[in-house]
Amino acid sequence: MNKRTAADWCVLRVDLSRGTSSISKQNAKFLGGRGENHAVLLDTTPILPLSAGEAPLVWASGPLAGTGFPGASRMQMAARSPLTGGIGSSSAGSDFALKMRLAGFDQLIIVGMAASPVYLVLESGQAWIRNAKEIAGCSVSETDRWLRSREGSMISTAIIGPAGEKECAAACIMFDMGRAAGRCALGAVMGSKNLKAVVVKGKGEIAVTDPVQFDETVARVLKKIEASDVLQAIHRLGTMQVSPANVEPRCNFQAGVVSPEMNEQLNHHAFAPYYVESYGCQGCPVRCGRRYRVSKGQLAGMESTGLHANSVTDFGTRLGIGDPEAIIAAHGLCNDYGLDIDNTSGVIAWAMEAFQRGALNLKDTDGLTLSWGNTDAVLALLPQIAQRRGIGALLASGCVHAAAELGHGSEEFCITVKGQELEEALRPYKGWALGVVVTERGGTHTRGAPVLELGGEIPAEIAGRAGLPQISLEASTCEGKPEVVVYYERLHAVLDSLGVCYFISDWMDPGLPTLEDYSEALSATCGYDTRAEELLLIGERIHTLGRLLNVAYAGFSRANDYPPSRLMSSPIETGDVLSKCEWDRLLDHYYDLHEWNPVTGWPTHQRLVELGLDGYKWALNHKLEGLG
Amino acid sequence: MTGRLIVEEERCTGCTGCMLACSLAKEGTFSLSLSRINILRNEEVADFRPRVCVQCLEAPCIVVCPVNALSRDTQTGAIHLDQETCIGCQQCIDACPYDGVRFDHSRGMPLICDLCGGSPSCVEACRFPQAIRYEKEVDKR
Repeated sequence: MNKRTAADWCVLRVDLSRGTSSISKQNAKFLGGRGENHAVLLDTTPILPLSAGEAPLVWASGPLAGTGFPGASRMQMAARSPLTGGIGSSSAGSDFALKMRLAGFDQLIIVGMAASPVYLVLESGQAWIRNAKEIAGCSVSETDRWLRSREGSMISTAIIGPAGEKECAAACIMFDMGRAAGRCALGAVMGSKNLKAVVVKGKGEIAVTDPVQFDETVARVLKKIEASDVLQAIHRLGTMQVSPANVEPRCNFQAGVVSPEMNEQLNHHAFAPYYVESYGCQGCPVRCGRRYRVSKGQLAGMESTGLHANSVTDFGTRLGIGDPEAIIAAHGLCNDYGLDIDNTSGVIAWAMEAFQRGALNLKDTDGLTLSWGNTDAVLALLPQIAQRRGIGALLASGCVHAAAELGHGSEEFCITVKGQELEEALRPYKGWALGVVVTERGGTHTRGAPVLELGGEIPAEIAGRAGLPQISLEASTCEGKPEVVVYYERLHAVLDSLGVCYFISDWMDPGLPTLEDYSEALSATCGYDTRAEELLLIGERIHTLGRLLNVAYAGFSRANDYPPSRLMSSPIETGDVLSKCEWDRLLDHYYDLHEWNPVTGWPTHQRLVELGLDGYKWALNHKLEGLG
Repeated sequence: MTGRLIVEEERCTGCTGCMLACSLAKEGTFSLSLSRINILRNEEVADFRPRVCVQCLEAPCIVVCPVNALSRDTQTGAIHLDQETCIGCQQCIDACPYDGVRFDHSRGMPLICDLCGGSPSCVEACRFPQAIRYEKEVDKR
């Protein structure tokens, strides 16, 4: 195999129906990662129905992935989401991106469906489709062990568990067992294709343009990481100590303020006795991952890898559980069944409220008392959901579908954005709320939501970078928030396309690497002369692709950019509520900054032309015809 | 003697940053198989054990080499490979008690750590977890 350069973009297309594959070398138009994935989906017309198994599932790394650049370890996955009907987009760290690139591939397009379970092996510029009948129905850890015994221990794996095989709405793809491409039901897309796993073997090499400049850039970035108090704290304690202080989505967002007792039960000190070790993704010095184990009592032996702040929200406050052992156990079970924790706990929270209000009863649940804080019931529900057994058959489709089937007013308890379960507490943080709700993937804080706002304010430096006067912005005000959200949307689009983790950016701390550093890294690795402002523009183009896909796939419009009605109508203890009037003003300004149509929330034809995206205008026309 | 690499296994995160920095410094490319360092790993329990050349005082690799292709660099104290002389017999790899030597199959030659002339790239890449340190002026080993 010829030596590859970091600038190469080598695409492997696998047709599982025909058992064939083809390789093409191209120039990446949108850097890589998310940008290239979304471009592939927009280039795939006509739009195929979700049920056919023919629709493409696209995986990509990025030009910095696997170079040893700190945090450049991300894989991006995209497909039409069976949960939201819109764009499904998700990402994960691990060693996978590096080994996929060393195996000779930057992007993987999977179309068609296999007749029986298979797995895919990528090695030395070639791809094999192999029989996976023996591991059908197996858990993620069983599958990983089986694959390593056959393919060698130096592989990286991406696996679906029983939840993916059963096409659950909460099914995720697990990378090297401990990292999840969680949201948007992409595990279910893999399951619909009968694709149990993808294995990569990294034997090749990647050349860079300027090794000396690369070393200098990396040394500077490492110094910034070392100097960041935020990352030092995460390095020591994981992400649990950065979760919002006292406001959490308690009991399916019916309440917000967490009692001092529960705070005590669930803060990082409470987890310390169960700590086993920390771990990190390829190329990352931060190692935010944490492994916990319960060694005594009823849950002895339960273990969880990758417990983060959202794990505590998901299986703690959201379900009224104040027990670290239960959270460790629930998280560990989700990992092994291939269930995303956010979506799974969301649908369980819905079921608990349905039980609380009488829409579900003991007969429906086969005797499980779905009361708040009932750990045993939650642990019993997880396998039922993953295997679509008992009440799990109802919950496996996600709360919106479950509520449509159940009725009895249970639609009211669906706390979702664009049909996907919401995990984040939104009320006190206006920029965070806007960023979470307007994402194309259906909620989630991984697009424009400023995580720094959870600390009480957005620092002045960030306001400056978003084009505002250099004054810090308080969490509770709306002023300047759309600007900050738009800035981070573009930054994240760039990071997702380069293959870099958000933690190594000014999303976490103003002192961490900025677009200038990424511009330099790109120049050293690929020889591109792309200045920071140009990167921001590319970020805008990539972000726009996601919007276009949502319009084409689902017709999502302004109406889908509002928070769940509970957050806008029922105040919690603090009195916080996201008012409609305030939200309308935020949205108007947000669309205005993007130069999108304020009535539809869609990119305008004119803006598409200005961004050089007029080739994708069909996405708007397609839906206009459909609505007409 | 000027120095050697010290590894603290329990600090290793398995991130492979040292391996990629090594292959970039010595081969000009990012490659796991062309790195002088190898991280033995067990993903299931996150057990990572970097294997590096520890620059033994009485180095078995030098002793065992049938053609005397390996020698001690008097300037840096690091083991030096004479690529012209090496016949690729891999006896140095078998002789190393620390799994510290790897083989480049494409060139048919061992990958010998030369401590980057006294400023090892792997140490720079590992500055955060500090699983690999460079210790200067060691008299005994």
